[in-house]
Amino acid sequence: MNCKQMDELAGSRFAHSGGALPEPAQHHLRGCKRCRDLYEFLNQELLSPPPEPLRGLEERIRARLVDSLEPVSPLPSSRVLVGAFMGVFSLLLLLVLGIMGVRALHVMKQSQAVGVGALIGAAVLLASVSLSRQMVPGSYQKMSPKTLIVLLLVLLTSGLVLLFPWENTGMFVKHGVPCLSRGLMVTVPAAALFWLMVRRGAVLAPEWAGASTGLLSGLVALAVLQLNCMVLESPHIAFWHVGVVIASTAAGFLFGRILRSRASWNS
Amino acid sequence: MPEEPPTEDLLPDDGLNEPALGEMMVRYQHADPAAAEDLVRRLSPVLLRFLASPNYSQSYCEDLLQQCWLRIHKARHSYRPGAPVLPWIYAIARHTRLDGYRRHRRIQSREISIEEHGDLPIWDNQAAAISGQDLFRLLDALPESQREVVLMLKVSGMSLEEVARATASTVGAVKQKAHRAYEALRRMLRPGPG
Repeated sequence: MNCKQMDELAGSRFAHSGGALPEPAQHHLRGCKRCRDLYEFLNQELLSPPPEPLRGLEERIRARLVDSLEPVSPLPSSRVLVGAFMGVFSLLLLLVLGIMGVRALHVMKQSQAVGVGALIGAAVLLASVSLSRQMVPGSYQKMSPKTLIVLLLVLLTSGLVLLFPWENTGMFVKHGVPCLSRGLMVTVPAAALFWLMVRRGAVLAPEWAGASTGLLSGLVALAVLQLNCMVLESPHIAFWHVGVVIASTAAGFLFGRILRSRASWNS
Repeated sequence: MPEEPPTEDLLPDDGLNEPALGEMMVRYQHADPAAAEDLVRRLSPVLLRFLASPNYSQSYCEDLLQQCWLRIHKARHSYRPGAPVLPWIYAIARHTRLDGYRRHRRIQSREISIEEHGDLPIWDNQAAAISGQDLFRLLDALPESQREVVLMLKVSGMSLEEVARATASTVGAVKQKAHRAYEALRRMLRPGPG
């Protein structure tokens, strides 16, 4: 047994109990002073009494909890939450497209339409899963919200750039600003709706929950713009359409940051 | 590597027994005051150890503990019956500690040093058979991400998977942090020259 294997044993439930170590581990400890010192230190930490709260503190805490104790219903399962996020996304999309129309769908190639649908659909699913996990403390998260947001933005941008021709027929700003405005107008009510759902959970990091909410609402706008905007050029899409998603994500992050700084968030 | 013995014989005392905690959480969600009292009694000592720091006064640490419990209370609906309790509790506790650290830094930069008020550091009035202060300070010298992993693994007896959930991380990352923490502790425990 080597020191690294001793580390793994040191962190296991077996070692936690202070029970007899297996013979290979005992043999290693006899020969390795570094591990012996560490093992003794960790066991001392285990055996030493943890600090006791002042007498009366536990009672005060208990009294405060019991004062406001009422039955609560546990949050629905992750699948239900993810389904709810995607359902709201779909409803919002249908509603806005019902008003604005799907002009671009008629001029896009089939491969472009499928590619856009796949990209945005996958991003919505991943963002929804991330949000559902952020609503429950201690949930297993394969990827941090920060990493996921960056990854999705990079993949969306590069994917959309690859799907559409890199052309610029002029009036980059003149065509772009109305897209940005329309997109942002869609994200605001979408973000409000999604946040009402998110706050039903117990979010610990409001900045990243805010950013994820902004991302999801930005994806509503992106889908609307992709299906409605007739400018099917990569620079326009990458800057103005994806720009709406980036702006919405950043706004969500700032919103979460402001929430955290409010005293009520931390009580 | 030898097989691990069955864990039922080796779990820590009933305080942190997962099935018991899970059952208490469900009763707590159903507004059972006895369950709330049980949870506070069982978890407060380990939570206080987790939240405390040698740089904090005892009153500040206990304030953090109260805040932690208020957050747990507010978030109790987010616990899903059947899920492990300790990752859920510790996820809330580590955010409480992080917010407490930020607030403490802001207070320190504005106010008179705590020592001048005579408010003792938390370990000064603890009667530990060993030098608890030294052990505490050694752990506190570790980076936060390593310190919390060691405390969760060793004090609460959580598994690597549970620590990964509590820290929103992966098992591989937890193993790496634990290994780095143990290496750092080995260096700190090595006697100095002369």
